[in-house]
This record gives sequence, C-alpha cells and structure tokens, in this order.
Amino acid sequence: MIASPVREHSKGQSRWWKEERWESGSSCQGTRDEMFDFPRPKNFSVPFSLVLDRARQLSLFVEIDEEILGGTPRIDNTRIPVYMVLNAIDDYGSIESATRAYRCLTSEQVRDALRFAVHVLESPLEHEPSFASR
Amino acid sequence: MSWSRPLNTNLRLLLDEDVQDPIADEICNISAFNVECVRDLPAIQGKSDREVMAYANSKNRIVLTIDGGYTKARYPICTHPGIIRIDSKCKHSAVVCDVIRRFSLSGYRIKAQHAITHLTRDEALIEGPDCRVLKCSI
Repeated sequence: MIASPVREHSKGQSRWWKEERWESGSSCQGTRDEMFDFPRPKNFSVPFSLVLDRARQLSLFVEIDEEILGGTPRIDNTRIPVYMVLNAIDDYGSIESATRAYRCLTSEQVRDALRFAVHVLESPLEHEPSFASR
Repeated sequence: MSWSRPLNTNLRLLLDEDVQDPIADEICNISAFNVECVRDLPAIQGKSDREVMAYANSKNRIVLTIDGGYTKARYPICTHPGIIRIDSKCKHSAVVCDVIRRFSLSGYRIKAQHAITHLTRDEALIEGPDCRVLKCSI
C-alpha cells in the first residue's frame, strides 16, 4: 500500500487534543494549537465546525462550501457529499464498487472521504460536559 | 398551448450530481420522466445550489436530489418548478430506484410540480403550493 503524505501527516497530528489536554492539566490553561489556531479547550469542548475544518485541511479531496450542498462536506469539484460516498461503500461493500456507483470519482477520492470521516470521528466530543454528564 | 398539454403528467427532471449513477441510469429508463443529469452538464457540475436551481428554473425542470439543503426556507414553494428529495434512510440504489419507480406509477407524481416532495420508503410527503402537506403512500 502506498502511504500518502496526508496519512503520514495525520498520524503526527492525530492526538492533538489529548496532548494539549495533558499539557494543560485539569485547569485547562494549555497553549493554543499554533498550526491550526485552535482556541483554548474550555471545558474540553471543541466546536464541531472546527472539527470539520481541521478534517478538511487534512484531506486532499474534501471541500466545505456553504453555497454548495448547504455546507455539507463534499468531494472537491463535484456535488457529491462525503456521506453519500460512505453510503456507497456501505451498500456495495468495497471502494472499487463505490467508484462504480459514482463513476466520476477515483478510488483515491473515495479513500480520502474515508480519511475525512476518520478525522472527524477522532475528535474530542467525548470530553464535552454535555456528553460526559449523560 | 396545445390542447393535449394538461393531460401530460410526465415530469421533467434535473438529477443532481449526488444521485448515484446506477440510480440515474434507472430513472432515465422510466418513461414517465424526461431526464437531464447535472453530471452531464459541465456548466453546472460542482457548482453552487443556486446555480443548479437557476438552471432548473430556466429549463423548467424539477430538481431530484438526495441533499437536504433544498428546504422550503431557502427555496419557497412556487418560486421554482419543484424539488424532489429522496429521504429514505436506506440509500441503496435498489431501494431508491424502487421508491422512485413506485412514485412514478402513483397518481401523485403530478403534484410534485411547484412543490417540495420528500420520498421515503413507503410514502411521499408533498408540500404543495396551497400550503398544505399531502401525505400519501406509494
């Protein structure tokens, strides 16, 4: 398997919030994430828009534009939302089949949609007080 | 206007790019629909919602989409030829094709004009020009 620069880059950055939390300790007095200019994690919460934006920056082919699909993450230069690509993988069982569902997409674009989903799901939503108190 | 025009209940559709290709191929084969696809139109491929809607307006076509962004708030009823949104939870092409085929055979398809229609697995919810929501099983 060919390792893409995005994947290597994401490995280095995947635990950004945990490192910040560990550095800051329980008082939440950590430094800002200089690379992506994240705000200080007050109450350990991160706005979902920032999570999406960070995932977009780590993806090669995913874009977010409020004018297109109402701001739903989509494959660049198309009107195909990422969730439909994931749906196609789920329905058809493989990345190659998903490219048959959307013939204009390449397998690399489909993989990038998966990576985008991974970056979103590894976000620190579990640290939000509203989730923790449930 | 031709005398036969009111009798024609076929729908002129513009398939959005998020509709999967096997579904688009299937819809093109349904005789009740006159279909044009965004994927075949480089001028609006990957363009904004407004541009797609403007094209649909200019060609008097109903937009068929999966995207939830085409809401009544953004596109008030009667300001466009119509929007059909596939709202079923399962987006598998076989399921979606079945839903659309049943809708095309139902007598309600004509009501999709100048309205916003939500198609689920069993029913169609049509927000019509008369501000009433018609819930019909298909």
